[in-house]
Amino acid sequence: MEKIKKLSLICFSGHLDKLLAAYTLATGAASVGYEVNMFFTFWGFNLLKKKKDHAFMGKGLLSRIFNFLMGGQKNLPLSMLNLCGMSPKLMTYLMKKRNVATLEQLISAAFELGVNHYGCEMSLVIFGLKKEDLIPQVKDIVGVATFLKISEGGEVLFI
Amino acid sequence: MKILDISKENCPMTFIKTKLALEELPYGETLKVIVEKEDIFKNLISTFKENNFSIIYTEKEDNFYNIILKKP
Repeated sequence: MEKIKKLSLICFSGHLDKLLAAYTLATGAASVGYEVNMFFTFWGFNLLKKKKDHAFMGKGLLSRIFNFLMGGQKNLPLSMLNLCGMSPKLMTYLMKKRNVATLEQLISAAFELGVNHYGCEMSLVIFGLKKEDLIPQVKDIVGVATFLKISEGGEVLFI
Repeated sequence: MKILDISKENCPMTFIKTKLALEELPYGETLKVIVEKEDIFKNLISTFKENNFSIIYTEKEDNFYNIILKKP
């Protein structure tokens, strides 16, 4: 029997460059027949929010302020040389100019290729959010036990 | 025959576009893939073989590689 090739990514970081690396791996692997699971936790969780810009959301004042400051998919910082948010825009511009896939394109490709997106249960609670506040492509909200079961028998990467 | 030109694309879009094109391809239909870089060409060939696509022939035309394959 042929073994199923499987790649599971833990997206902890909410940096644009690191998520680009994660999505490049995810889509590349999915294209060559891997089963790919992405598990978003902590700062990476920001990518799953339905509101892609700075927005007050969540339960309670603290959560609302916290979520507003962190922003969403459109405000991801670079891990180096962020320059108050100027560099990510510059980087995306350069990527478009050089015909390299941007994060937005990679994310939609990942959805098309059937990459599984999972949200971290703990992050959801900390940020005071509900499943309805997340993008509809999120397959499930899972804890560590479920993640271990999902990723069993494959490769796991922490980004 | 359907044509997929990925000569202007970069990694990982080359693989993504090929995969999506192959999914849409009806059974028995042929597809011509145009590639520019040699390493991508080699990579695609081995991927096709692994996934049981039958490669009819490959050719080098000027600076481009053409792969003609059929969905079994």
